[in-house]
Amino acid sequence: MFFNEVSRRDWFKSVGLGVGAAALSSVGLSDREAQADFVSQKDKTTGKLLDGSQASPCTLQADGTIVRPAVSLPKISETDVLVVGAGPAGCCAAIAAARLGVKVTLVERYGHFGGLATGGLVLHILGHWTKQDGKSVQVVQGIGEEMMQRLEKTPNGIINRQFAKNPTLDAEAYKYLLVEMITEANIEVLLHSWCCDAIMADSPDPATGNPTVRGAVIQTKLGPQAIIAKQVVDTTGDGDVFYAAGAAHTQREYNIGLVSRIGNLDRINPPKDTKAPRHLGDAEPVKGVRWVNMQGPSLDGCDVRVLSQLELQHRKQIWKQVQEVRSTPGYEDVYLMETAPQIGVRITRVIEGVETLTLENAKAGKKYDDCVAIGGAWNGDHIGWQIPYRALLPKNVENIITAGRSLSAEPLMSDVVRVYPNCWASGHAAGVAAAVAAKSDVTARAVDISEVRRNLLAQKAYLG
Amino acid sequence: MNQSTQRKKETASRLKTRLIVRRMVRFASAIAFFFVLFFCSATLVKSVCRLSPLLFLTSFLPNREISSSFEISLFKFFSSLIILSCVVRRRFFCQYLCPLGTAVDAGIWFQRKICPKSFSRRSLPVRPKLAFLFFALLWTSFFLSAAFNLNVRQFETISPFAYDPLAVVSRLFSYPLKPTAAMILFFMCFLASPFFLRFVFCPCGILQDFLNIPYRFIKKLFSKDRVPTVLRKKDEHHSRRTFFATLGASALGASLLAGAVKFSSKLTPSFFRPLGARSEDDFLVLCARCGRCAAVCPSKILTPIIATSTKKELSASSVFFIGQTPTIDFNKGFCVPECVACSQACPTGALTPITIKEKAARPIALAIFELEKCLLYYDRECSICLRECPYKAISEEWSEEAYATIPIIDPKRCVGCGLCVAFCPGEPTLDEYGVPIEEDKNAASSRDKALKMVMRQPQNTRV
Ligand SMILES: Cc1cc2nc3c(=O)[nH]c(=O)nc-3n(C[C@H](O)[C@H](O)[C@H](O)COP(=O)(O)OP(=O)(O)OC[C@H]3O[C@@H](n4cnc5c(N)ncnc54)[C@H](O)[C@@H]3O)c2cc1C
Ligand code: SF4
Ligand code: SF4
Ligand code: SF4
Repeated sequence: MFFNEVSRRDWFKSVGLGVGAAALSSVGLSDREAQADFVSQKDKTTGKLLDGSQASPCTLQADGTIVRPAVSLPKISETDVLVVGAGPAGCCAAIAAARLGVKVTLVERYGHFGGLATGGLVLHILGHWTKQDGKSVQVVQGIGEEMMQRLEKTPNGIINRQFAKNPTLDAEAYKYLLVEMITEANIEVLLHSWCCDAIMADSPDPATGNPTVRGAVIQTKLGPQAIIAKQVVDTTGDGDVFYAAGAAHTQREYNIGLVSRIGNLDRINPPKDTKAPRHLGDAEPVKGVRWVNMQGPSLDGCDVRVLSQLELQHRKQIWKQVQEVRSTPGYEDVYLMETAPQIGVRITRVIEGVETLTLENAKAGKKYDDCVAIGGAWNGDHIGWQIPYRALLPKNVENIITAGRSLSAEPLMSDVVRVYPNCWASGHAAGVAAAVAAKSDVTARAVDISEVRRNLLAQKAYLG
Repeated sequence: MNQSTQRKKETASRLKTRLIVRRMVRFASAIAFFFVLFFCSATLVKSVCRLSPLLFLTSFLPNREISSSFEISLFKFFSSLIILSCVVRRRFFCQYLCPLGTAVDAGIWFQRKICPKSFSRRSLPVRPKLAFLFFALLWTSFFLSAAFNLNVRQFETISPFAYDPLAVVSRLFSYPLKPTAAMILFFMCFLASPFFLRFVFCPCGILQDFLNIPYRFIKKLFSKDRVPTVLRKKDEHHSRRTFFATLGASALGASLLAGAVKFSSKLTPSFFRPLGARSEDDFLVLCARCGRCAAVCPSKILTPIIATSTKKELSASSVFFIGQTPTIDFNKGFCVPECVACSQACPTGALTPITIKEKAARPIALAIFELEKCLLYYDRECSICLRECPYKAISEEWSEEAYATIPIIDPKRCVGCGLCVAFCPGEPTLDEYGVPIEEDKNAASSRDKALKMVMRQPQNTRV
């Protein structure tokens, strides 16, 4: 029944229409009858026999070049706002857009939401506090604040939620919360879908002469499939979509680490005056569990050879570190719980925006008339800085905006931009802007900023 | 007879009007001085301080301030006029302009009004020549050494310029008022014998005496017959002696100096000095301890310190001589990158005026880094120092060995502003198991930081 009779498209549709949870159960996991049917079917050698004619492989030509055949792609979805990458920025963007009543599709290469904040095991929420005239002000609010509030109600969801303090969340609690929020918002979800290309309009934008994005291609187990959209938000962190669409950007190298979690820290019992081992990381909501960050060498996070090499190297190091901890008297019970499923790539591609954030401007508190978000300070020790809409907007491509760690900023500023409350804030802004553009049928560049700001404020975002 | 009484009467009335005018001028200039001190720009205060002949000469000689604003040039002109006036009129500055003198006289007058038998009446009738000679000698040698840029290590604890009346008044209102032993002593000495301080001790007064001597000598040579009264004769007699005393003093001072120069060696300061500070030897002599630098510092990091390069703490009596030289206390904050106010405010030239452009080439300290206290070493996100350093002196390097990213401070770029130290959150605090706990911003200041300011040693000082 599962494999034969429910067509894939129907399956996607049913999840996508936002009755995801209901759909899952009707598929059969809790339905005894269906389950029995499923088991009996599995025993039979059934399945569709395919002759291989669906394939359209690439060709190695005589001159050594490898070419991909020009084939037309199946269209998996058509939507108003397509959000690619479900990290902190992407989830906020998708939720914000969906709440404005447009159809939103969220694409993610892995099987969970949260990006580096969950899959990367980065748990410390840095940078939503600032110091303004000697007073602490929380500048990142809106959906990010809502997430923190809901995590407070989730068991083991968040700790240190205090005034002017940086809290820490738990990866699993956050993954769960995002499932809840995204299903509530009626967002079409495509997981295990790796965005591998952009889809462009066949003629340039009449107003600017720039190429216009019309959607994206995802790589799935069934091969590439197309999603057509009015507006695309690139929150892949690495700018995979704007890279494919040919937007101007800079390629950066930055520290790449691998985060891990260790357990049983509540069972340690070192003799007095023992020097604590070095790699103990930081507390997280679950008792006795700590997350251990890692800086790592500064390399190109888009290069698979680099990533592969680092996965091997870092894993060895983490193992060594944990053994070091365990060999400290009193720490024998500590063990390595997990290494992050997603390697910690901090900064790679950064869009060449219409406006570029600089540290100098941020320190000087530069004001922009198209301010759509306010970013904070890592340690709450300096003033908030405005994020103009133009920093999300590429210079030379239409109908795509970016948010999160890939928005337009000089290197030192990117380091401030990338902490995830700031990604929440910029993602929120990008979602609202894309929805407003889709609704009013204008390009992302021509969107009415006052309308965007009004909607952001209505969604409780902080704009100063 | 009648005529002579008439003349006497006329002179008396003339003297009286002169006295009244003098009082009015003194009063007005004292008020003006305080007004400028409290309400005017740093440059104006500095220029006004230089109206003191002593401070003007010290600032003029070693400073070689070539380019200066119109304001400064104008006041230089006024200062020159005052010096000229001092040449032709005995103690012109004391008589008309010195706010300290006016304040003290007003105090004495008041004291006499309410308590006629006050001890300050018993001011010394005659100038105690030996003491005068001693101070004249001392101050002269210092003055000359400062003027010719010589190192006088032996005298590092004493500077004549610290007792310049304008420096004294300025000092009272510059540092956050903390009555020090020196201030109290100074004030008590004045009360006990204003005469002593003004005519024997005050280096500015002694300088004025010197300035006036040639004129008096020449005048005496050419108009011998026109000095009738006994009083004047006595005066003139006195001035002649002063002249010889001065000659002797200068000779002695010069020989002393020669000795000092021979034995002098470069001092390495053990305190952070404000921006533009000259070599420690020169600084200790030239600094008038007026506190103008501390008064203008926007981040209030300049603190008076009662110590010298070689001795950290001194007894109360030596405090009197030393005064308080300005040092930077990096625990109080950092030196603002776009500020050069202290160097510009210095009236004496102990601090060379520096422009913002030149600032990067005039380091005041050096930041050093300790790996085991850095958050990056404990796998945290930080790099705050890297982002905060206004001079881009900090970079990061990955160390395979430590498996950590390590901030590297380039001593060639670091100007020692202390900003990185101010922002460094520092070593994580540990709980009872020795496990680092969540950082608490309020505790950050008391925490051991990974960065620290140190004195620049000659080998890492930039040229
Ligand atoms: C080791 C490390 C430690 C850090 N420590 C902290 C910290 O302590 N505090 C803090 O606030 N911040 C920290 N950060 C920064 C912060 O976690 C990230 O910058 C932030 O999560 C970025 O959010 P994002 O949404 O822009 O991107 P990401 O979190 O990277 O999310 C991008 C999402 O897009 C998906 N994606 C990528 N490419 C594709 C594709 N082609 N197709 C489909 N999906 C795709 C990814 O799977 C991911 O889910 C740290 C980062 C790292 C790497
Ligand atoms: S230059 Fe630095 S030390 Fe000097 S006044 Fe300015 S802030 Fe203070
Ligand atoms: S003291 Fe610190 S912030 Fe200042 S220049 Fe040196 S390294 Fe940079
Ligand atoms: S600010 Fe301090 S703790 Fe942070 S990286 Fe620099 S030295 Fe290390």
